[in-house]
Amino acid sequence: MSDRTRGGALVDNGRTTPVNGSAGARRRLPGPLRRLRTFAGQLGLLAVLGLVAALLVTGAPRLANRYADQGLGQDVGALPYQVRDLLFGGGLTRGKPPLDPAVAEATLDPIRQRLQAPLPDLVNRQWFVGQIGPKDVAVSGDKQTMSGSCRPNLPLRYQPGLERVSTVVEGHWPANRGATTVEVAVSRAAADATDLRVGDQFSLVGQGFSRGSVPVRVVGIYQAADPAAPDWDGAGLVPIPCPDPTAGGTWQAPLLTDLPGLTTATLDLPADYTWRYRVDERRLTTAGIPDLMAAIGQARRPTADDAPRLATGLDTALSTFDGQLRSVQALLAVVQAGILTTVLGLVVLAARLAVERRREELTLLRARGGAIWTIGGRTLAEAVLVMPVAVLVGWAVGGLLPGRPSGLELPLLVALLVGTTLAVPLLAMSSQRGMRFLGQRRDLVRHRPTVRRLTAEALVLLLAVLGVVLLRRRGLSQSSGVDPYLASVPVLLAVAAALVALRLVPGPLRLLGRLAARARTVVPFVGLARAGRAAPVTVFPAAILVVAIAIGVFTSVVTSTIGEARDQVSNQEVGGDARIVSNAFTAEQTAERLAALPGVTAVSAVGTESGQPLRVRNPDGTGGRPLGQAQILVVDGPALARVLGHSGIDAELPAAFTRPGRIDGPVPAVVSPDIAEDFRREEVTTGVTDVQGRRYGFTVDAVRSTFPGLPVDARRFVVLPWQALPVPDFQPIRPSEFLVAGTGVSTTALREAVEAGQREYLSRLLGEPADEVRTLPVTVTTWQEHRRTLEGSGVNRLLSFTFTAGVAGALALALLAVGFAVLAEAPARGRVLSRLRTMGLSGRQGRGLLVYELVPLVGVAVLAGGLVGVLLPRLLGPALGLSGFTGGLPARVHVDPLLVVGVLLLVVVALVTALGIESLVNRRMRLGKVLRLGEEN
Amino acid sequence: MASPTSTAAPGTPDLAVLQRRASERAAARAGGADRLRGHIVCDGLVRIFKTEGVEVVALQGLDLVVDRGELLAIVGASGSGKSTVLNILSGLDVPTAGIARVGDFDLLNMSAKSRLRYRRKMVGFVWQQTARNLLPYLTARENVELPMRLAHGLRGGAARRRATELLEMVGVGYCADRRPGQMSGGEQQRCALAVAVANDPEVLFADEPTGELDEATGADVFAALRTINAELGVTIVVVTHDHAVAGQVRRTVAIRDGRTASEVRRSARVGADGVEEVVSEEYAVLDRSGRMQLPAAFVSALSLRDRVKLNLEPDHVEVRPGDSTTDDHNSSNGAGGGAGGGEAS
Repeated sequence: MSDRTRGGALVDNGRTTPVNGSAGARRRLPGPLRRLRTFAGQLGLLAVLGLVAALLVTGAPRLANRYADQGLGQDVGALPYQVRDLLFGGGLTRGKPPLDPAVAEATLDPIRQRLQAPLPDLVNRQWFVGQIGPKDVAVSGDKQTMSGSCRPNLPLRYQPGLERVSTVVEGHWPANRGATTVEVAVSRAAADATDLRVGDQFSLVGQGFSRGSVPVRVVGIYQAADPAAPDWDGAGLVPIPCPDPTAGGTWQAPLLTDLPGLTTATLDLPADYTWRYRVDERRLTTAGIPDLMAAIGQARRPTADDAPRLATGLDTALSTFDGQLRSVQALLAVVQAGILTTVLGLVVLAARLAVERRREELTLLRARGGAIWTIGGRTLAEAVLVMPVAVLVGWAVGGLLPGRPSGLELPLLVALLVGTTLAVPLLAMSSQRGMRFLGQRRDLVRHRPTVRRLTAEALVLLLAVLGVVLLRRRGLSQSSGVDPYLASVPVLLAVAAALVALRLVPGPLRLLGRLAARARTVVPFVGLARAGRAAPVTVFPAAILVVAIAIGVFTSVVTSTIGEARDQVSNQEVGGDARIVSNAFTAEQTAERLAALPGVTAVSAVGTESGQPLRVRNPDGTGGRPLGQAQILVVDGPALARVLGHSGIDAELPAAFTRPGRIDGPVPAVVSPDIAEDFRREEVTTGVTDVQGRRYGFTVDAVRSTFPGLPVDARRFVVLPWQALPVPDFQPIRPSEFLVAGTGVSTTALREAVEAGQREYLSRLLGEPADEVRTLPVTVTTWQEHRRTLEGSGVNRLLSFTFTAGVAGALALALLAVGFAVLAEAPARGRVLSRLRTMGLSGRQGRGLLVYELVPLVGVAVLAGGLVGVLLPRLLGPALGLSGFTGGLPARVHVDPLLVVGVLLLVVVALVTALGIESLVNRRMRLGKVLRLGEEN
Repeated sequence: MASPTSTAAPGTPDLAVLQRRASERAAARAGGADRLRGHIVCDGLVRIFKTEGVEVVALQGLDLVVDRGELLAIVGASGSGKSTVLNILSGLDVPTAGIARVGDFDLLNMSAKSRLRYRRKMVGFVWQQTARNLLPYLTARENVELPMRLAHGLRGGAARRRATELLEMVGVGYCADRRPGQMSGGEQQRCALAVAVANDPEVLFADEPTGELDEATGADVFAALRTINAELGVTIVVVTHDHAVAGQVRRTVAIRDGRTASEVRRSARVGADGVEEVVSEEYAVLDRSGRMQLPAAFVSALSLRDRVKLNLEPDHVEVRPGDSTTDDHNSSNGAGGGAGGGEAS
């Protein structure tokens, strides 16, 4: 090779510096691994996103299922045994000989085995109870308590196994051997309450249809090891009122005996048998609800006339739970779909970014003779080493979370694995498709969207609108599980909003830019000009940002809507800061006592009557045609207004209610819409009803769907103003409730005040000393307690999980999207910045430029996302079924003012993140280097 | 003949020798010296970039014929369409209209498959940016092997051997195990040349291969180009701004506004004193419809505007300013600009 040109530049070919041997000697990694090392950052980012997506796909449903299952268990566990257990009993035995207790006991297992699957497997405990009384059986003995007019109820009970969960504290356990006198045992508490001792003898005497008498003798007194254990359900000491309620109360307690004892007793008195099966709440899963309900339904249908009949409320409870669960799952599906879409969007974004960063390399490969498939193959070889591992790690970590996997887990995971692995190869191939790979001239940047693109965007918009319309028309899917349609519409809507926003925004931005151009500082002008260009790279992150923000705001709005609705429900149902329900107390004195309690600011007495007949009022004041029944509420209008005002409950009473003074003739009344409809149908405006035995006429003054102090789901009620009723002094209306306003009042104090009133009343009535009178139950419900019970439902935890996941996920992803937006534009901005810096732009102004560029993007995304988020609950409306969480009150969309603050905070955090990422990315970009990057073509 | 500028270049014998050798090799490859004509043919080549109704006409009827084994330089101002021609010829871009043929490949109607074959077997190319020619994570030798592997050509030891040979031929054999980051710009560019000819292409295109290099390094790279041309008989088209490069090729084509404007031919001839010297002659290019561009210098020298007068003389065409009264004293030397009759006919 003679490369010398005479007189020309001398080619110094002798520059044979010794080869740096270390590089050559080193054993090199295989190609894909080497490329992996070179592009570790981009692939790592993708891998993290894939991992997060896999975690979301596997972990979130597991947690959700766990919370749902736990909630179900908790709800079922909290039910009284009569509701939750499967109780078989009765059956028509007319004309047949009574069932022998031994035979009855032996059918405990067969009944269970005959149950339809999955019931037999779910039952973890079962009991057999044979009992005589308390219906139609009375005690009779020499003792004073056994002979008076108010005798205790002492049914004879045989329940195998009880001896194992109790200890005999006196005497011995009954051991009958066929003697006529049946040996029985009573509990310590019952013995004390009913004054029974070991050795006491008395008889159980049949009443009504049951004729016969069984002599019993108390041979032992036992103490239950754990009185709260389910074994003792129905076998405890229960206070009951005397046959004459004014005579006070007495007790009901079982007399426990053994099988021979019961067999002996059944010769004279008929026994009732109960076969009781407990469904293990820990083994219940929400997925099994439909089967379980079907099995219970099947068990309800008796196979024969004399077969025992099933009594349980489990299916009703399950159905209620299922309804709520479906609503939460719908919410969760919306949130999950949104979050998953965002993550997948970020995956695509990261892949696009990776391809964009490697464009030169890929172009070179393609130009040097690489086929499309070569490009795909090479990038696939790298992705295959990373993405499946990342997805599988995500899956493994998600699998560590407790809970059942969702049925969709495997297909979703496979789709995710394939999708994330193929993302980069597919995008790389599409970017190098045809002749486009080199045709990108920087001087030919498209500013206007193509017709094809606009058509596609219009189609998305149309689909979103159609989706909303159809969803509203169709409502929530009745089949159990996630409704994919419901889940996808919000995402579609958010995407549509993003597209519209991004199409609309450049116009005003250009206008702003023009205004900014007149200003002295150059930074706003340049920043806005760049932002107004709407480069295609930033459209995608902005769309993702909108989806993320929409989901976040949607969850927040739903949260505050439910919270607000629950507040409203508590307001309505408690009707004050506390509500006290009881009876048999002195009205005025108790009210005064309550009012005198420290912290109490207002008290209002309320009289209630349920199921009172309504009639049309004849001209003479008598009742005419019936108008059905209604719950009657008699409220002291001015006092109630005070209570509502002091409790901060925003419920306006009609003017007629707050006006003092008695009205002769029909009084103005508030009625429910149902009643108003009845009146309208009968074409009357006045009616009559009975309040504590007196007839009062009323006219419909106002129609309200709810009234303070009434359950929000009350359908038929009439509220009468107490002060306006012509109540004679000799027959005053006795209140049964007090609504109390006040802060820091202890429920004990309230209860004690009412109990004092009861003692006062009962001692006067019974003629006994006040401190010896047994008081009746007093229920005090505070506003806070009532609010808590609304949250106490089992699905609530799932609901909170949904909200937390939605808000936290959306927040994190929104920030990520901002980061990506910055990252995607970093090289271009780096070039611009460097050029501007040669013209004297300071570093600080450079950061200002980024802020001006990002504020419109983030602002628009937040605005569009926020709008969609706020509108979504309203648009989806019935499909979400939010009223299931609010105790029936229709949930009105409520936006928490804090949300606005939060969103603004998000914008600030997003900008700070953006600045952080920008400085991280462009920190190493030196001026000279950037300027030397040169033109691409 | 218009203004023949004759320069006695000291390096002529080399140029002539190399050119001869390149022709011989090319003839050997093509299977006969009679097959050397028209290896690359562009005729009325048009390329329009279009976005939102804005059209950028990068090429407006470019004509160019390059023979087999030729080393041709294309010069032109920025935006004149040089790179566009090169991209089209490299099979990286498709012309809007016209004829573009390289060997047996018609660049206008190529299927994706034949385009791929074209890129794999027919052409090699080198870009201006040193970093864009090589994959940063591969060593020089691996970079050279890459096209062979992409084209399913030589593999294993054979590929290694050829890569080493090529690297040595361009003078960077010592860099075989270095990665681009460990090489200087000139070394990278020479390595890129080796990559470009890895699959033994018939044509090599280089887009300002010395653009980012200093003069001495640029000369290294150009020397490597000439070596390739001579040793492998590869037809080479170089787009350049570099006058040093333009001065060292036999033919330089100037492009102006997307058309071939003029060309400079250098030929070696033995002068009267017996010393071999290089003579450069600049020609204006006449297209099929008879259009030609007057060199800008001529236009400005005579302040030619709007209209000119043409006079057909027996052996040349005269161009005079279009003003009514023509002062002949300006064109005493026939400097009104006329295309050589022989060339124009």
